[in-house]
This record gives sequence, structure tokens and C-alpha cells, in this order.
Amino acid sequence: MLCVFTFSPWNLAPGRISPFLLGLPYTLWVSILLAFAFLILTIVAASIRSRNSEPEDPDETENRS
Amino acid sequence: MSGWLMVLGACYVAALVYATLDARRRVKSADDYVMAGSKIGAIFGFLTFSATLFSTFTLLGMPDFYRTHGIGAWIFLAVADAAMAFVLIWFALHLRRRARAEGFQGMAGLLVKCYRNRWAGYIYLLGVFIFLVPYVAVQIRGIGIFMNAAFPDTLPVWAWALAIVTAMLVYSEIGGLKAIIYADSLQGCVLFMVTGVIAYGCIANFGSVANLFAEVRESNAALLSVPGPQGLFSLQFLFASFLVILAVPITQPQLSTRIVILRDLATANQMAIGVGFFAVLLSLMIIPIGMYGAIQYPKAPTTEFLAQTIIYDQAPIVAAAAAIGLIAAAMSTADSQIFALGTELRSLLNGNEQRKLRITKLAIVFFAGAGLLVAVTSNDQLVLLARVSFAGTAILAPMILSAVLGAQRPAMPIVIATAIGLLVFLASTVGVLPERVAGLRVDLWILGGLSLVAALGAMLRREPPLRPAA
Repeated sequence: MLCVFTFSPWNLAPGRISPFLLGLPYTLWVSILLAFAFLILTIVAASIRSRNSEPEDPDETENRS
Repeated sequence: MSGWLMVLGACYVAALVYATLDARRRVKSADDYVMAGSKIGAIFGFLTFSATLFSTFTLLGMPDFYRTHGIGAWIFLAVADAAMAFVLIWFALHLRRRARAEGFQGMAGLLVKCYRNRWAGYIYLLGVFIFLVPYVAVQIRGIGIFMNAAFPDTLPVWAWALAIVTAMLVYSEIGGLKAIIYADSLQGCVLFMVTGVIAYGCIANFGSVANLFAEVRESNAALLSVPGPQGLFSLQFLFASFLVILAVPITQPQLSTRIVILRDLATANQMAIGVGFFAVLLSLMIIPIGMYGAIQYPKAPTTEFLAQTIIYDQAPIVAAAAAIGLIAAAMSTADSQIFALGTELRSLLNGNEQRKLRITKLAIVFFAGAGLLVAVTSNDQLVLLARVSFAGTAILAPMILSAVLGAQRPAMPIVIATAIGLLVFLASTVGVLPERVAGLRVDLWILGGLSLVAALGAMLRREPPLRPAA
């Protein structure tokens, strides 16, 4: 959904610069929010992966147990 | 400024020498030399990955991109890099599984094992050689033309390029990948801090971010929206660039090697988050530098704009640090790529370790020489040359993903199709074939076609399974 929104006319509106947010033109501040949304998604994915994946080698299993 | 340049330059060289000697002391085997012992932690991991990813084109090419084409450059680089961090989490899991199951000395070697055919490795090596050498050249030439413009009475472009390549070769050959990782970490920190200081100066010049953008609106409002004044940031250009940047950690050997040599999967995940934040924050700091240039130097040639903005408009200590930071940025990317090409060649070699290592070291010198040659003879369009390199290596992605993700031995047609795709893209790049077919960019056609071949191959293939991924 983030990818779709990134390349949709709502974000890539040709020639559109307003409304401004904190002095930033429209496409820029929306895209900055999108970049941070991708980062949040990355953190969520990393925490789920770290919780669900098994240790990579037997030594690690022993150390953890 | 020359006084500060000598002081900071001496500090930088001293740190580099110390890191190289320390790495040399820790190298006990060929694997230590080529794979840095494969126990890299999250901090070194994210610093070396980030420094390798961000290079001269970040601090030289991107501000010029903002100045010339406007804020669409943010989507071109920062949004794509943030999404790439997400891809990194996913790809690291699968690549590390496959690498543990098959053994990993390089992506080319891994492909040979998965496809059980040496041509898969040869085509990968050929692809990365063709498209990474121009990228190495981007770094070397970028810094050469910048230093030549900033310090016109010192050395010509080719001499700066030669000096940088020589320094890279010395620490790479002495300390191996570990020395490169230490150097990258140092260079990543320098690049980040210098960019931050210059960005702050550019904003302070106008009082606030809002004032900066208000001035840009006055002088050239087309910079504040897509597709920009020259129409570069079309939907198709941005989408194709997005895809090729997502493929960078999958296809570029200097990055895939860094994923495998991390201590464990949790470390890889932490690294991905770190890389994502590094990318977005660094990209944020590039915006004001480009916008400052759009107001102060709208018509100036690229080198003049960069020399003025990064050197002459700064306090002497900042200008000196910027010059050091730029050299560091160029070296951190180029050394990793040259070393990775050597590593990939090694993964295809047979014979004893000493012989393989000797050939690898000679190959690194050869690849550096090739990069230097292209650097001296190429043009000044840094970002676009880098994008061609990204797009070229992205063509390898379906072949790699078929090997890394598949449970069965992947089908050979994807290898053949990848070879054809590389040839078609090369022909399109040099103008033998058109850049667009039926209105669509050739790189999108190739990526779509190869993805289809890979998907069909995975669905129709009935082969014994590869070694089970642990």
C-alpha cells in the first residue's frame, strides 16, 4: 500500500506545491512521511523476524538455553 | 584552509593506517582476509553497509540533482532507500539460510552451487564487472573533478584519481575486508557529520527551512514539485529507479557479502534498521544543500556549484573536513566494490587457498585499474551513470532470487534469459537499441520479462530439492 501511494497521483501530483507543511512543499513532506512509514514497517518486520526465527547455529541455541 | 586540510588529513591518514594495521594483525586465514572472520556486529555492520551504499554521488551528485531537478530527488533516493531497508530484512533471512546450507564464498560461487552450472556464476561475475566498474569510476571521477575544481592549482583530475585508487589498494591488499570495514566505519561517520554541518550552514544562511523553500519558490517554483523543471522525475523514471534501488542489496556483491558476514540474523535485522535511518537522515541533510545551490548558483556548472557550496562558502575547518569527507566517501564505496569483484572471482576458482588468494589479490589490482581507466575517460553525469550501474545489476535479481528463495534447483532458462537481458540493456545504454519500447523503459521490460521467466521456472520445475535451508 505504501508503494502504491508513493507512485499514485495523490503523491506525484504534477506541479502541485501546496499545501505547505513546516515550509515544505506538498510532495516533499508527503514523501518524507512515506519514508518514515517504510522505516516503521522495517522495525516491525525486524522485531517479528527476530522473535519468530530460530537460532542460526547450535552454539547459539546452547547459549540461549 | 590548507592548514586545516593538512591537520585533518593527517588525522584521517593516521586513523586509516592504524585501522589497516590492526586489521592485518587480526587476519589469521584466507577466510579472515576475504570474509573478515564472518562475525561482524551490528554497529560495524550498519556503518560499513551505509558507507558502502552512500558515496560520492550522495554528497556530490544528489545536491546537484536537487538543484537541477527539484524535490523529486527525495523519492528517487530516500523513499527508495527506506523501502530497501525493508527488503534487506526479508532478503537477509533467505540469503543467510541459503548461505548456511550451501556454503558462501561469494554470490557467484553460491549461484554455481544452486544452479549446479558454472555459467550461472560466470554470467553473474560478468554482469557485476560490466556495471560495477562504471560505478567505481563514478566515485573516483567524482572526487577527482571536485578536488580539481576546489583546489585548481594542485593536481589534475587523473592524478587525484590515481592517488585515491593507490590508497585504496594499499589498505585493501594489506588488511583485507576487515581493514575495509574499519575504514568504512570511519568514513561513514565523517560523511554523516560533514553533511550535517554543511546542511546546517545552508539553512542558517536563510534563517529557517521555510525561508529557504520560500526563496526557491520565488526563483524556480518548478523545483518544488514533480516532474521538475526538466521533466526528469516522471512516474516511470521514479518507479524504475525505485525497483533498481530495491534490488541493490540483492544484486551488488559488496552488499550481499556484508549481509552474510554478520554475526547472526538478529544482527542483520539491527543493521537493516540502522541503514534505513542512516539513509533517510543523510538524505534529509542533502535537501538544503541542493536548495541552497538552486538559489545561489542556479546557472553555475556542476563543479563550480559544488566547489562554492561545499568548500568556499564554508568556514575553513568545515571546508577541510568536507574535502576529507568526500575523499573518504569515494574510497569507502569504491574499495568495497573492487574488493567484492575480487571475492566473486575467488568464489569461482578451484585449487588451494594460497593460490586462490594470490589470484584474488591480483584481480583486485586489475579491477582497480579498470575503474581508474573508466574514471579518466567517462563524462561528468555522476548520478545518471550510477543509475545505469544500479539498473544493470538489477537485471541479475530474478536469477539470484530464483537461487536463494527456491526449494528446488532453479531452471537454467533464467540464466540464459539474464544473459540476453544484460546484452539488451547494454545495447540500449550505448544507443544501439532504443531506450523505450511501446512507451515503456527498456529496463522495466527486461525486469518484467525476467521476473516472468523466473516465476514460470519455479512453477514448472520438478527437480530434487536443494539442500534444506537450516
